[in-house]
Amino acid sequence: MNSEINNFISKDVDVLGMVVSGSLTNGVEVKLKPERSVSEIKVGRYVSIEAENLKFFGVVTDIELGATDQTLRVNPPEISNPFIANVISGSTAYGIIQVEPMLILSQDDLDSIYGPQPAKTIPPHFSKVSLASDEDVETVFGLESDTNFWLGNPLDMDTAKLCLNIEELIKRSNGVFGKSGTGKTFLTRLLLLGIIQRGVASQLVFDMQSEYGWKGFSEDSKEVKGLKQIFSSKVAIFSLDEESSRRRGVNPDYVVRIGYEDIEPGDISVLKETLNLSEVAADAAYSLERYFGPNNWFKEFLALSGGEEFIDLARNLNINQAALSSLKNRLSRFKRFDFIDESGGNDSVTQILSYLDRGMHVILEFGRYGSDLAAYMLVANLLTRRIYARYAVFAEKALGDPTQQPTPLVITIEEAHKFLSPDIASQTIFGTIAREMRKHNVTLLVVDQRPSGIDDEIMSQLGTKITCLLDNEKDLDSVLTGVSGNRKLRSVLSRLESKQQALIFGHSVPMPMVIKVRDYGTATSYGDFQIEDTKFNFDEDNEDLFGKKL
Amino acid sequence: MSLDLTHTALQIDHMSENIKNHRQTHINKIAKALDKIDSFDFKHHESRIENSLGMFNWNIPKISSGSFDKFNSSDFPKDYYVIATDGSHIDVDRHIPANCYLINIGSCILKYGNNSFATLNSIPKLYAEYDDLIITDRENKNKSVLVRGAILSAKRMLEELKSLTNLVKEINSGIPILALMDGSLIMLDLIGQTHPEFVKRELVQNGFAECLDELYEISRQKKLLLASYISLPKSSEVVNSLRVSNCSFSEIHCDLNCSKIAPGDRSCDEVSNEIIDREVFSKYLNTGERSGTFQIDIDLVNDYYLDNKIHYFYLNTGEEIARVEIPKWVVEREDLLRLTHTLILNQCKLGHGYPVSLIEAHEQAVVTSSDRNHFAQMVEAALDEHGMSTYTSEKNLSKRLRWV
Amino acid sequence: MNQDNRIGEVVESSSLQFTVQCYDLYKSPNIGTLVKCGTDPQLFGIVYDVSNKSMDPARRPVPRGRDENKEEGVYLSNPQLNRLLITEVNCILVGYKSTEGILQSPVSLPPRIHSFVIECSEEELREFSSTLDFLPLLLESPILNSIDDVISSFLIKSSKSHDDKSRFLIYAGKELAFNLSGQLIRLNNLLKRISK
Ligand SMILES: Nc1ncnc2c1ncn2[C@@H]1O[C@H](COP(=O)(O)OP(=O)(O)OP(=O)(O)O)[C@@H](O)[C@H]1O
Ligand SMILES: [Mg+2]
Repeated sequence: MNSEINNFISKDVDVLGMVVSGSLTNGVEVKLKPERSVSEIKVGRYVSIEAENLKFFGVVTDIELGATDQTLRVNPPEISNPFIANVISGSTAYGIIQVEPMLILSQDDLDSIYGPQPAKTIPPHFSKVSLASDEDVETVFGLESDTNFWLGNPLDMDTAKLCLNIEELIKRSNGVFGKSGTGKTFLTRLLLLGIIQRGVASQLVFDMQSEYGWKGFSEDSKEVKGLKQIFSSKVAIFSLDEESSRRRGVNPDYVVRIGYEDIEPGDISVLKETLNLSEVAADAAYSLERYFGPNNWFKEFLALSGGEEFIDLARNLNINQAALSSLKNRLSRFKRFDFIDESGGNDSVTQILSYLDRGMHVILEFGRYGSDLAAYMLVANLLTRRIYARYAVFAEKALGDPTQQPTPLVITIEEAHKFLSPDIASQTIFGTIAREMRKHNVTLLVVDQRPSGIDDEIMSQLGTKITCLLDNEKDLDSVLTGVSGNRKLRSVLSRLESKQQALIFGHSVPMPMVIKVRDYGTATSYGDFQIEDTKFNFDEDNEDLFGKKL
Repeated sequence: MSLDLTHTALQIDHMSENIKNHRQTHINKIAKALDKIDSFDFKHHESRIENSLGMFNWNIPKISSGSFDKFNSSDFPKDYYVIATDGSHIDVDRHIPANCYLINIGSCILKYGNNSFATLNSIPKLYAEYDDLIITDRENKNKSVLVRGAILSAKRMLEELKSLTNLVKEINSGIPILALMDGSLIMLDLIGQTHPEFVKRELVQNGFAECLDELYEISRQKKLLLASYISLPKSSEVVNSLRVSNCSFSEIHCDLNCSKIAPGDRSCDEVSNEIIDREVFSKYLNTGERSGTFQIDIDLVNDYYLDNKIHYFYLNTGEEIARVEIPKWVVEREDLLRLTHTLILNQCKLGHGYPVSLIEAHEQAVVTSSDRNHFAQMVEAALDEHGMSTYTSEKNLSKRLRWV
Repeated sequence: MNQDNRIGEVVESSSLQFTVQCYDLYKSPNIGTLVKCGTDPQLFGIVYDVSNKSMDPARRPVPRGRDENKEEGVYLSNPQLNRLLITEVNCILVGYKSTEGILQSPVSLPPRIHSFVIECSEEELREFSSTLDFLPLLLESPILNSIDDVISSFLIKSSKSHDDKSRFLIYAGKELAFNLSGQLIRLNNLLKRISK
């Protein structure tokens, strides 16, 4: 027997109400059951809608107040009587929620092997709408497993684990966004951990703030463990600033030295904006390379004294002297970078690759250079370009012998818009990687607080975006370009809490989902990883050259 | 044209004048009757009756020495029963295609005192068998009469008493039982009409009287009071008995002496004629009082009631003068008589002037005119169902359908 | 009342309501009581009116107690009153029992005359009141205007059959509010009644 009161009494709080109107473009309107109060439901909450033999999975996109009696405003009921107040709220004064049906979960076992399908229709009138259950979430996102990594919990569903299929995730470049202080770094750290733990890729992390490797800090200045502390055998810390590393108690696996010969004109053009170079000045690097030769141009150029010599060079290269001079001026800043060695580098690239080849994860700490964007960009671009080139070779080899496929590589960069802005995206290696998708088994994880600075084309290439609160209109636009249900998601996104909440959407999730990001930094949270580590660990002895699981 | 009310008003005046005059003589006459009663000489009365040798033509009761005494009611017991029955019937109707009649007997049992309760009931019975429809002379099977009209009324009365008897039999208790009938204990329907002797024998002697016998038998084991209650009695037997001593002739011989004298002018008319018993007793009896008893002295009783002599007394209930008829055995026992008086008086009080048990028995018994129509329709429908075409006379049809 | 809570029999019925004549004078369930009658299907009704009256509409009761000291004396001295006066209960039909349990919906056939009418037990009341689908049926009842009293006493009675009384009442209140949109004053009054 359909016993409403029993449902009611047994606190079957999952049923919210029923569909009263709607459209495919605008989603459906759900009138809340009398006993439900709007205040218990939040935008972004997941709901399931039962319709005949289909089950829809959707998200709350808006909440409204309605009143069945228009005199309510003029003639409010006796709310001084607590009983009456309790009754009236949610009934005569009732709540409406807007729900965007996202997926159809087939009830049919046969169909369910195809997984959730995008909702191309809407549930009929009066379909029952319930809060999504843990099982619903599991059906949609999958159970925690050796491919699925628990990233967080759907909003207001503390017991439902939202899991990301890491294998799927890394097939494409991804983005983590959010304005400053919203939890990007914590989230990224979790993703990095997930990738390490699932062992599906090697990673290179350009750790601008030196917060991933050994330890980071939470806002209340408490230390949180870095990746190395959790997966010491799988993580190598490279440092640009040994002194700083040691000061922080880190014994780096390798100290990176970059020789003058390692710097290419392309590395300079990336820094055009950062170094405040004109177009002409930036382009001059190429001319210089041609003039002095690939390995010497930087050294030669910086060695030039002023005066005649310089004027001649300008004339020879047919470059505006002022431009050339400003280039020289800016590049001489590099002399101050201790990691740049006039006498030659230490082949960091090979070092990095050798770690990566072993399936390890390299975190490059910038130390004090993290605050110098030019240094950061130079190094990131320079290393990546070279590593990518090597990967391209591996990949080519693998064409003839699939077993030679290199372990996928995920490169994490912060301040990504600096590398991927519309005017330089076409020139930087990061732009190339992002656009080429996983051509050579290399993908990016871009972390940025100003996604609007990133080239639209690249944004649209990002497979999965995980974004914390954004409040700038342009940033919102940029993150959501080309995403269906854009308008609804926008309202969800702009209402996220200021920390530790994120909207995840794109390639590796069947539907956009708001999550409370998994807690990181507590003893239990580390414990969880340790346990997971043993649970999902794989035997290192069984790895081949590229860390591939046999 | 409208009524000329000025003319009419005059006529009305005149009419009330007449009534007033008439009433005055009437009142005077009652006063004289009362005087007569006050000075009633029982011995004188008896001897004159005796001397008349049956030539006194008026129907009068047997008067006893205490007949004109007045009695007060006594305390009544806490616990007692009152049982009453009443009946009504639907007569054989030639408009109903089947020969049948129906008697409905209503009954009421009231228990007063501890565990007081009431039982109200009605039992209708349809009579359609050949034996029900006629009464046959037991001695001569060729002689029979149809049960209808007065005979049916008599039969109904018999049924009332039978039912009363049965109810009395069912009560197993030592406390007083007042068994009450509505109307007379005399089967008045069989008086005055020339019904064959065998009908009276059948209905009265073999029926009613036998029941009375049975009740009498019961009365010897239980404290049973049998009575019938006549409201607004129209009888003038007691008044007529005053004629005896008021007769101016030395020897009473009505036919001989007075046949040529116009009613009203006879010497005996001075204290009677046009006045009835209750008019006199209403002046004579105070509220709650009853008269002494009078014994009914008519042929029907003498011939067919066997030993069951019927007596009566008048009772001032406060609302009216009622006549209460009782069997011999009640009269013969002072306590039963007093109790009958007392209980009936209380019944009247509870019934706002009419014995409440009789009211309820009547309510149970009553057959309304719509019940009658229903009954006719049911009979017709039943016959139709059995394929018997029903014929209804035009007259009755026109009664039922109302033409426009 | 009989042991099985039988109160009387149906003496008049329609598909909306039925009238019960009680076996005993003054022994009636009160307004808002859930009763059942009939078999196959068993029908459910809610008492909305109780009347004491003369069985015969043509006979009006008359005062009888002038000489009595106590009111009960009237009945002791007039035992027939218990037969002449009757207590009648009018019930509105609110559902029936089918193979799937109790259905709160209009019934298609009225109860038979002389169907035994039984006051529902607490469990039955709880089962019945576990949904309140019949509320619209009552609220829009064409039968009478004091229906709100019936509803409130039904709900108060029902609440006592549930473990969580106040939760039930809030649920019920919300159902009322749902059904009385646009009738705020009426709703308010109803809620006040059940909130006591
Ligand atoms: N998953 C988490 N678990 C625990 N605390 C968190 C989590 N996410 C965010 N926080 C808290 O929020 C603070 C800000 O997070 P975080 O440093 O990751 O922000 P951010 O977006 O990287 O900021 P910025 O743009 O300044 O680098 C953290 O210091 C921490 O206190
Ligand atoms: Mg950060």
